[in-house]
Amino acid sequence: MAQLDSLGKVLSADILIVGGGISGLTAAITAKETDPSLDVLLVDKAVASKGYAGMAGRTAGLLSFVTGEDDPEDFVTYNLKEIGCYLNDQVLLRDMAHCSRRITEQLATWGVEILHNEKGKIDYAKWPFPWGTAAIDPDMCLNMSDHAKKLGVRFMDHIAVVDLLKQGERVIGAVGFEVQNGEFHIFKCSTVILANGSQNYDITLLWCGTGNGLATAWRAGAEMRNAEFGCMCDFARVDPKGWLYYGVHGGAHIAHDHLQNAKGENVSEKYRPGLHSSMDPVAANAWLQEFKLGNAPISVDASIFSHPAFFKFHPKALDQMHREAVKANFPMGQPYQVVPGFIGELGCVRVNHQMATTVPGLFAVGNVAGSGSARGGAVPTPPAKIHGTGILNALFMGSKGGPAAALHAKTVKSFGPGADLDPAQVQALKTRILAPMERQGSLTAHELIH
Amino acid sequence: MHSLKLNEEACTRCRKCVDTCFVNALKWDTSIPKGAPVLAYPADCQICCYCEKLCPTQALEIIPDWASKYIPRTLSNAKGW
Ligand SMILES: Cc1cc2nc3c(=O)[nH]c(=O)nc-3n(C[C@H](O)[C@H](O)[C@H](O)COP(=O)(O)OP(=O)(O)OC[C@H]3O[C@@H](n4cnc5c(N)ncnc54)[C@H](O)[C@@H]3O)c2cc1C
Ligand code: SF4
Ligand code: SF4
Repeated sequence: MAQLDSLGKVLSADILIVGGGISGLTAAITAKETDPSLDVLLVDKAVASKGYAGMAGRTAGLLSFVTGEDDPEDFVTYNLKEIGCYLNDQVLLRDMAHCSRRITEQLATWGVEILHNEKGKIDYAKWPFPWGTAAIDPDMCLNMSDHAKKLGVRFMDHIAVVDLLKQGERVIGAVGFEVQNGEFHIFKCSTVILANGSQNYDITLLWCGTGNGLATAWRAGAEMRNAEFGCMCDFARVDPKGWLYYGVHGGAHIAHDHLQNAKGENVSEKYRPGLHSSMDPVAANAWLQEFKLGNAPISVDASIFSHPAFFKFHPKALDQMHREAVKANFPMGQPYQVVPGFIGELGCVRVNHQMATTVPGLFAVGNVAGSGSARGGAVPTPPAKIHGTGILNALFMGSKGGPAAALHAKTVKSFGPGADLDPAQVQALKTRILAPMERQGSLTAHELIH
Repeated sequence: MHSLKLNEEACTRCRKCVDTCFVNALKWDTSIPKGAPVLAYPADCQICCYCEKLCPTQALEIIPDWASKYIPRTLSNAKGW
């Protein structure tokens, strides 16, 4: 151990969770619930111990779930036919359909608020999808991290995990560094859960996963799946200066079903009637055809936001979106012009029904393995871009992976003290990871991308 | 590029803004006597406004620079546009 100590700070745990967004916190809580005797350590490059890490706090706070009045089979059928092009893992999809209500109701015991109606039942909209969409507190991770701490989960903030340590095929630890002071960290653990998000960096603001979890898994030899579905298109708002705004800043997420041309005609109805989960080539083609006919500009009928059946948002989510909209010069209440744009989100670590990757001891939950789980079929992460499924996906995968990882860690522990880490392996990784610090005059990430 | 405007008088130096930034774009600047939040990696700022929202004294403001972001810049650099 003396040699290891000289390479960095050495820590140990039974389960190391990388990433403290919704999926990592769910995995931490459910692993502890499965076996409270296990030492669960959650690290995040942001501040997960206070619930500020991950995309949760920046969401629109819409949670999809199969309600008591829905048939879970309808959810499965809709996902197969309308979203996943029949390429879904139907066993996993059905599992999610059947346990989504339990997961949703369980959130109250973790201190997470979902808006209820005057009858004391979860308030949900049954529109535009044939299941329920409820308003959830976007600060849910604050409550979840408090709950995790009460269960005994340990947290370390500002730690970026870069690579895994292996003995043969098996994971026996991980290495990374403190993002503020660069201190190298070495973790000894039999079980690692990657919960560190997808790759969509610098495409759409707020969707800002750097994909380093995918790279970690890839370098450890994990199989990838469905990477080809990591890209999709979405409409973007274009303002008079020609600047494009995507996602929440663009207000264009629902554009695909509500397009109108310069003559005031409903373009969506003409080319792709009905309500749809997301934009597809038919919707992009509708825009193009109208453009060619000289019917541009194509805009979104903003009255959709005041439709009585439109989703209700949690007041905190509304406040958040309002702040972002103001910053992005959103023309409140006005029609706004849109163009087909690009949005991509890759989460292709292959996992089985227990969220185990193909590397023994390595699990992956949430966005990092969203499309790799094949639950959503031919769609990007989180499967799919239907309002409210990102949170459900993170909760579902976390609550599958946490208990499975706990069983794995417990089994390995029963065989005695884990494998010793190899200082030579750690040294080699440390040299590679810290190499950019030694280089002179290299490019920044932004320069490399643009 | 995006920038941060700080009301020096209103800031209580609680550092909450730095904690809340989910992409570590904010850092605590120790080079000035009382310390202050600084937008150290403006290109990483996601204009989520969370730091503004959670600042107990509304001492900071994130000022977006949309011209530095998004397609027009990329397209104008690209051939054929
Ligand atoms: C603006 C916006 C609005 C959305 N609205 C909704 C909505 O209304 N409904 C819905 O269902 N979904 C919504 N989503 C999607 C949903 O928020 C995400 O799918 C979900 O939060 C993903 O959770 P996660 O835990 O898998 O990943 P993340 O929340 O991305 O968490 C990953 C964590 O890993 C950490 N990390 C990354 N790399 C490392 C590393 N190397 N070492 C240590 N830590 C690391 C990150 O800091 C982060 O905390 C929205 C997303 C965005 C961005
Ligand atoms: S949260 Fe506000 S008061 Fe606290 S350090 Fe940041 S700017 Fe200053
Ligand atoms: S606006 Fe969001 S991303 Fe930008 S500095 Fe503040 S908390 Fe960080």
